[in-house]
Amino acid sequence: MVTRTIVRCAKLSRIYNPRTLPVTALDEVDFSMGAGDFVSLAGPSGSGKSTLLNLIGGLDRPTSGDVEVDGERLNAMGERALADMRLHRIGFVFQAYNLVPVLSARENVEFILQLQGVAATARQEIAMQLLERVGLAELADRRPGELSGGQQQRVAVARAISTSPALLLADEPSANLDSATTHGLLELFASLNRDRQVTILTATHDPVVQGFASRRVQLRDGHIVADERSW
Amino acid sequence: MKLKLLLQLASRNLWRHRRRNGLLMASIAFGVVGIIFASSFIRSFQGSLQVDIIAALNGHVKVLAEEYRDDPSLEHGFELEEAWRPDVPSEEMLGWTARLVLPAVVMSERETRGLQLVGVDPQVELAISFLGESEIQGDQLEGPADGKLLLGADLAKRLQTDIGRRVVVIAEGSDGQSREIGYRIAGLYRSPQAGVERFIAFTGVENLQRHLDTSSFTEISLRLIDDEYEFLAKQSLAREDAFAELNVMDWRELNPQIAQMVELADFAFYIWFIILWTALAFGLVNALLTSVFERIREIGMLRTLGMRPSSILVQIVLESQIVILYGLVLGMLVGTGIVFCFREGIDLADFGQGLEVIGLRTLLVPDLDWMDYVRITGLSLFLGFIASLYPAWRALRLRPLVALQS
Repeated sequence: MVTRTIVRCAKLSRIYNPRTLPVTALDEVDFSMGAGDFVSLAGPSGSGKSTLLNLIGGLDRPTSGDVEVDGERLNAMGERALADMRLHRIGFVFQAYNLVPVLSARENVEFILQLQGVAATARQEIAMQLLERVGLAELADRRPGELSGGQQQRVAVARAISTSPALLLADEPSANLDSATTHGLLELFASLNRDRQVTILTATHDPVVQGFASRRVQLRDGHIVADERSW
Repeated sequence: MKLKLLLQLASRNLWRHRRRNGLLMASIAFGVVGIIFASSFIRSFQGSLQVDIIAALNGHVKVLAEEYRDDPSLEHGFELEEAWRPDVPSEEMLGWTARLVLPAVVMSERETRGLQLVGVDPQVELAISFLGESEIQGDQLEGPADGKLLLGADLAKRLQTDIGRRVVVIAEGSDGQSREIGYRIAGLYRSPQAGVERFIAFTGVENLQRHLDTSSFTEISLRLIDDEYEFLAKQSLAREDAFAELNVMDWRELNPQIAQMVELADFAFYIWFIILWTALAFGLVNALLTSVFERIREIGMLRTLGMRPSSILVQIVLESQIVILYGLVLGMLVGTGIVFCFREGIDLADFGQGLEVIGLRTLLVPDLDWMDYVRITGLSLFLGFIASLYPAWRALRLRPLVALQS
């Protein structure tokens, strides 16, 4: 079966401080992901996994090479187009939860839908369904400060998938969670990947997270040194 | 939809730092109270200056001979047909009158003083000049044929004379010779305008004409219901054939210094406003910058999620506008309340002589102009918008990744 390509990186390089003290974070990396993939990027600190994630998320610009997400070439986009790209095609889950502190859990999940201009009734319905899916429907009106770390991360996941993005990017999603909460979160990722065909790319040190991915990519010194599928 | 979200974020963000934003709002409110309080007295000064100069026998528009202002004598008087009426709609006009105004000398048994002898129709004068507002001791003049004198209380005091006593007035007759006219003092007027009662005395115009052997008048004065009718009334009088040789002048032309002072009051309002807002702007910029720097990571997250840079800018500007709006409402309520407490006016009698020089009343009653509220609101929001641009621009410059990693 031929799957749609969601991410395509060709000869992708990112060099920091190219004029003063050049540090090569990525060196001509070729990488691609199909729809429905669940890929983990692993490697030691400085190996380039977060850099690759940021380039694919349109948060950073490559020094050379191309990045395409869902058929759109990011290199050629301006700030506004990149913002629209992130808004409509990419979901983000950050290491430090990163919810809007002045909004309730439900409003946080609604946030991206609201930016997209989805009508109030529809987005409230979607938000409540997703909060139920992540087991937080009863805490919908609580603000982030009133939720535990694990609960906040689940709200962040619900927010990230609220618009059914082509790609979900997660940067060290388990870094601040205990093992039980991590396990619950990964179960959630796996079921989203399995049931809703959400394409997931996660950068992680955590072997538990890597264990849940269907494909494991190993980076070292800005190069892909291993790329293996579990099944 | 998006604006609603930005408004929600902006207003809730303000609640995150209640004390800081509360202090900012209070300082804006304090400034607005100051502006309202000051502007109420500036407007009072401006209004009373204008009303008083119009009431001080000028009217809105006056007809007089060009030479009369340099040489106020009967030689520069003019005849007026008995049937003449100004071609101004009666609903636009408070009244009009023809006067005979001449310089004269008044002598009592003890003192001699210079004065302006004004021959009037007293009933009309009550409606259009300061006489209507004056407190009169003794009797009012009965009509244009009345041969008695209505003297300013201050002048009577200086002449050491009183009601019922006789004085002699020397004025120039139509033949250029001085005439001595004996007058009995019918009453004394006390005017709210400082100064006028020291040099203006009234008598019946027909009686004065008879004494001076003339049928001339030296001026026609027209007082209107509102300033807005002034231009058309002036044009109408200027078109009259009977006045071809005469000057038709409005109160500004008659009193250019006072007119400038009235305009200066407008300017003073803006100067006062800008000074206060400059001080407030520093506080506003500081609070907004602090708020932006505290939220760098959050702003990075919002940008990462797809919020456009322009939306971040709008959010920061909205935060400033909401604080300003709250400050404005609070300041206007308190300011109006304080002005209301002074509604009886502030007695400046201790500074009476100084006020006389600039033609002010000794009782300064604050006057609130609703247009000042509109000006204060519009200008505050505009200046607040300008002040918030720098913090908003700083937020706009944040790169999402750098902000997120901060």
